[in-house]
Amino acid sequence: MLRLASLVIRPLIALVGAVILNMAGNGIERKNCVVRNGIHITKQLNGKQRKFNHEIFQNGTIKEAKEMPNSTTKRKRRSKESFEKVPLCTAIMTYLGFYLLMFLGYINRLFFTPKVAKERNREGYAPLYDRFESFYLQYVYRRVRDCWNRPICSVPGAEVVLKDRMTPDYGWTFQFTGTTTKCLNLGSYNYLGFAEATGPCASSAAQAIQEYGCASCSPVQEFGTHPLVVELEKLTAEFLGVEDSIVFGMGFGTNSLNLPSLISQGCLVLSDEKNHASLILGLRLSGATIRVFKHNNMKDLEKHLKDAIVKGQPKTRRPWRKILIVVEGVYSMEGSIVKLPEVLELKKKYKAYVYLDEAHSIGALGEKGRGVVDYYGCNPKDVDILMGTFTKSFGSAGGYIAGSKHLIDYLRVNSHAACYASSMSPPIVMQILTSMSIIMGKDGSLEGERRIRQLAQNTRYFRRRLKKMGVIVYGNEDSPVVPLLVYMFSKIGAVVRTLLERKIATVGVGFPATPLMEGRIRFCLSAAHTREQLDMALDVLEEMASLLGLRYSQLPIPDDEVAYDDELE
Amino acid sequence: MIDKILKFLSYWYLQYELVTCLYVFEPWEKKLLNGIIVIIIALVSYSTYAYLPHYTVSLLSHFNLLNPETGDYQHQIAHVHGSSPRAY
Repeated sequence: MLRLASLVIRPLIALVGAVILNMAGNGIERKNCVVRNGIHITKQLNGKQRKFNHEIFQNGTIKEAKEMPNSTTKRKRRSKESFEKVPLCTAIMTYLGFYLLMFLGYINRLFFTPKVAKERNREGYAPLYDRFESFYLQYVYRRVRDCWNRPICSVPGAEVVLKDRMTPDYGWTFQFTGTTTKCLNLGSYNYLGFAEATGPCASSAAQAIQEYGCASCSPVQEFGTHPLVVELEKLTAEFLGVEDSIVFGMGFGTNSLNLPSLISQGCLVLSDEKNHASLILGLRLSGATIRVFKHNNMKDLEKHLKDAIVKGQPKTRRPWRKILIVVEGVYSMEGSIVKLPEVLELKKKYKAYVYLDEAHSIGALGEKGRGVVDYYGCNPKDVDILMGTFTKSFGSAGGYIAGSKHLIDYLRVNSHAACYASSMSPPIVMQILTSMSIIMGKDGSLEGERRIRQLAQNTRYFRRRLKKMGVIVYGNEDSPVVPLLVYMFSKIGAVVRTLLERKIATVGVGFPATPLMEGRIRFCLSAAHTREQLDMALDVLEEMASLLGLRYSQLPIPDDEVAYDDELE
Repeated sequence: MIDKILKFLSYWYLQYELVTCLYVFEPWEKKLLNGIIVIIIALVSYSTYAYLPHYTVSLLSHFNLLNPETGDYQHQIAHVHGSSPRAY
């Protein structure tokens, strides 16, 4: 009878304790122990204390996990990706926090008028703005609005100069204080460090302005194709290892304007859950049927493919005209890398096409910097449509699509962007030409190799140190995008503001870019960061983790020392 | 010494603010919400102080779990049959 009572009472105490522990867990220092349900256990694996020496190779798989002698377990292939689940009490408190925000937003709206422009003379017309969206903007986002849209005064390299502003009325209006702050830049997509104001890229771009002018002033199908663009297309095709390529002036526009010309009604598109807004926009504009499969889940993708082929189109049961699988190389919000070998295997088995969006992965992954195809060692001719942007790793702007000559010839005639959008301007093209030749090693120096290696070292070092801190970090171990989960809305604002005080500029992301429960801080590493800068940032982050309570991880902490020049092969 | 206590208290207040999302609110909203929570805690503690001891005693004696006190056999039966508070 007493045992029964204790069986009932213990979960009750655990629940109450969990809520208090959430606060306590934020404050208590974690030493080498794991906290599970409020009970501390020492690091144990399979009942024995063990030490691991992981050998991780640069391509996407782990060859083996070398164990110290005196242990008798079998070797398993450990996944390089980790997406830890949210602790229950944190999820509860995040929900409660949002309810509180909504409640106070309604009270605010009841008693005070918001300082926004009012719609006038709208009787009889549909409203201009979505009600919930404007409510969220005015009463939730507005409170921490000073963390976003910060103006910069310098080139966003390894360090960036931010213009300070203050808000006298809690986020409704802003005023510049007149001062600037120089911060370590962990928010720009500057993976190979080509965002420089001086150097070979910048001087060649200035030279191109002298020769060709500032803008091309014409779409591609009219007078917009100047010799630099032709050279760039050839160089991009050589860089990626395919037959031909076509370049456009805007990366977002490349996706949204070219997908409608490739697919239409009667085609099926299987797109990943976490695809970018440009892909979703392009797919919706095309009019094809879109089915979403779970993020990076190959079983789900296979199930959808089988269903599509067996059942055909919904009403007529005819076979689909085309089946296109749309995936990204590196997902910028998750930090995960697509499982490309499995996708290509499925594509060949079920005769589908693959559209690979390498916006973040081109230049940043792989031994030679050729992207996710290089990272896995796959054949680039297997992927039907390779798309990418020049914004992230090449320090420029614009996008490309590469593939077989047949495809590119078709796009030259039929793409909306080629017909209506103006082509890339000469200095931008020159910047890409110079940076791409540096990466390929064509300028004769080892600069490209050095940058790729530095980025890989920085990534590995940063991620391992973060894992040792006990914070939850999503994604693959090799991706230079590092999302650190903070879950709660107040913590996003608190972390970004406190990091800015310590001279580190980062990006906090919340709803609607991420799911409601998963607020995160995203770090983008760069080859321009030196080891000292990363050390400084990590020390500040360690202090933040204790001060603001970010140590949510419940996995065992590895206790090996993290050295900067760890094994690279 | 006072400094240390203040630092300790401000650290835990910051944790409380972050977890309950009070960190992002304006000062008047913080006062309002803190006031509501303080009122709830005050009401709960007053009712605990006023009613819990007697309620516990009558509950335990209803299940005959109370230790047999010296004498008072009649007293215990009276408690089992009626549950009105009795002044001593």
